[in-house]
Amino acid sequence: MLSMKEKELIEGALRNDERCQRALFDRYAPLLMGVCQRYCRTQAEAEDVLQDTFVRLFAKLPKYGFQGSFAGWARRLCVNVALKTYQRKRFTMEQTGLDNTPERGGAPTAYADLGEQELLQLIQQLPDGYRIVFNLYAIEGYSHKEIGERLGIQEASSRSQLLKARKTLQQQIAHRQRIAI
Amino acid sequence: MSDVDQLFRDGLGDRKPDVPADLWQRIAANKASIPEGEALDQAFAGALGARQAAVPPNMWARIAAARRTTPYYRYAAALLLLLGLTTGYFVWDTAPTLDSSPLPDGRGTQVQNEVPVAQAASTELSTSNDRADAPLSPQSSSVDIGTVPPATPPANTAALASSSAPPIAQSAAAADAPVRAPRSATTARSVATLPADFLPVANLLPETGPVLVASEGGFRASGRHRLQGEVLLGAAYAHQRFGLQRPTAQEQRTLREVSEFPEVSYQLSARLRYRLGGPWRILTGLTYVELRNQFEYEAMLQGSPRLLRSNNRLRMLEVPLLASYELPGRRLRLSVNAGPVVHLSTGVSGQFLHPDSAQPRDLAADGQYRRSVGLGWTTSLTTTYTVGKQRGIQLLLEPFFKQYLGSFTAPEATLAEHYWMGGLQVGLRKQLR
Repeated sequence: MLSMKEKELIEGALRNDERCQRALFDRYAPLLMGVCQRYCRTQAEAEDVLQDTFVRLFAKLPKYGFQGSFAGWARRLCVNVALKTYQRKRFTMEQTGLDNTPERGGAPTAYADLGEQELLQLIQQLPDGYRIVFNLYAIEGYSHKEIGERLGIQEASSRSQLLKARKTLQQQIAHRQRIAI
Repeated sequence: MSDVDQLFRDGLGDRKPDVPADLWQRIAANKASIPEGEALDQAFAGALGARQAAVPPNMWARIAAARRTTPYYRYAAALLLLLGLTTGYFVWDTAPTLDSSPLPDGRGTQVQNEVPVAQAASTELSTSNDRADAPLSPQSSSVDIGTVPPATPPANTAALASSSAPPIAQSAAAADAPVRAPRSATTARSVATLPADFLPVANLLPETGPVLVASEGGFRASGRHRLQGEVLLGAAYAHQRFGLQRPTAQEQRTLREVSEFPEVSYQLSARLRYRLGGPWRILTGLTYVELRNQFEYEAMLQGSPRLLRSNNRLRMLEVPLLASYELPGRRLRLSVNAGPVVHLSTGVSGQFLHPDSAQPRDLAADGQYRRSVGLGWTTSLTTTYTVGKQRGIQLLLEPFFKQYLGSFTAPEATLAEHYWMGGLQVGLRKQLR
């Protein structure tokens, strides 16, 4: 349910009132930046995705229609932009022959002490395919069928990517833990 | 065992070093098993699902800049659509009006769509050749309405029967079989390619007077009316692009990119157009161009931030030298133009942000713009529509693209500033002599 203030802000943004648009940005940008950072490996990529998200958000605002939570709608939009960016990047990598193997590293930390930043770092270090599927399944709550449709892959591939992502995350946590002890 | 070995064994063999007091706590904390499967998912989702992150301070400026550039794609799409429609029109308009494939017996050419001859003859036979300069030939000439009477009225039929030409009625009677008539309204107006014994139009042609005079070397090809004058006014999008001339100017470039946005630029042209041989023309003249950008920055006024806007302008005089190729047409014609443009930077005004200065700086004083002659190139597509019976005036619609090859700033400036522009001009053209 939208609060009155939120509704007024959205209506103002629909009228192209720059103050309302800015207020919407101030309110939702931190949340969406969190989403962007999970889907992107670097801060620069995340910022680009956030920028595209807000450009599309204001362009598509008339389609929101005040149905459901605005935060949820904005978040889905952000995920879509992130996926499109990933697909473009994947195409570029195929063209240029660059691989997407992440850099290993990170400060040694025991599992019990892993905070948001460390968990985010672990996700960002996953290979692109693992990271996208893990985010979509484990955090956004999409089914393997939906992930397959969105990414244009088989359901089985989605399952397999998720298992590999989990295994990689476990290995990385264990590795950090060994160093920490 | 050597003495040295013995020395170390005695000294360190039974040594019991101190154990850190918190070692057990550390081991106990790290003994927590690493979750697997759904539990691992939950751990990450719980920690990161609703996580909020810091947003870079210039993000809103970046979004605002990106949103401003988006609508120009619509203008570009509209321009492309206009070009496509115009080109499509000309392709359709210049397509042959009749099927010129020969009949099986070789007597003439075949016309499509069968209609009775009487109907075909009574159809309005006015010529589609209302231009004086279109070439005529016995095979392809058309007949003026005044020269061919309709076949159905008996009086006309009788008159024709007494003439030296073979009567239409006779042909019609002989050819009760249907004749093929043109498919479209345009083609229906011409009977030029009918076989001679189907409809004796070809025999009538020599008596049709001025219409049958071949217009080779006609009015427009006679060497007169070669010079035309044009006046055009256009609006354009000018794309500003900064390049680094010093590696340290990265911050300055970013500042300018997020604070300067394109506005509608415009240009005013006075041109002369000289007709060379065939479809070729040459164009030159003088153009005044104003490239405009909006400058935005936040200033603290009375303790609160205020967004201030002003305009940056780059004014120039240009001399284009264009080759023009005119496609054939009637009142509506199309010309493709291209060529170099010599431009003079005559002035710059406005402000810009600099990382070393809290207040905006003046473009003219600190922007390091050059005033020397520069070179560019342009291409355009001119659509003309001839107005009135005298045909002395034409309306012009001209989408154009122009690129300036060099930077507008001096070589010693830290940033290079390049532009290209695309827009639409409208104007008038008049015969001068």
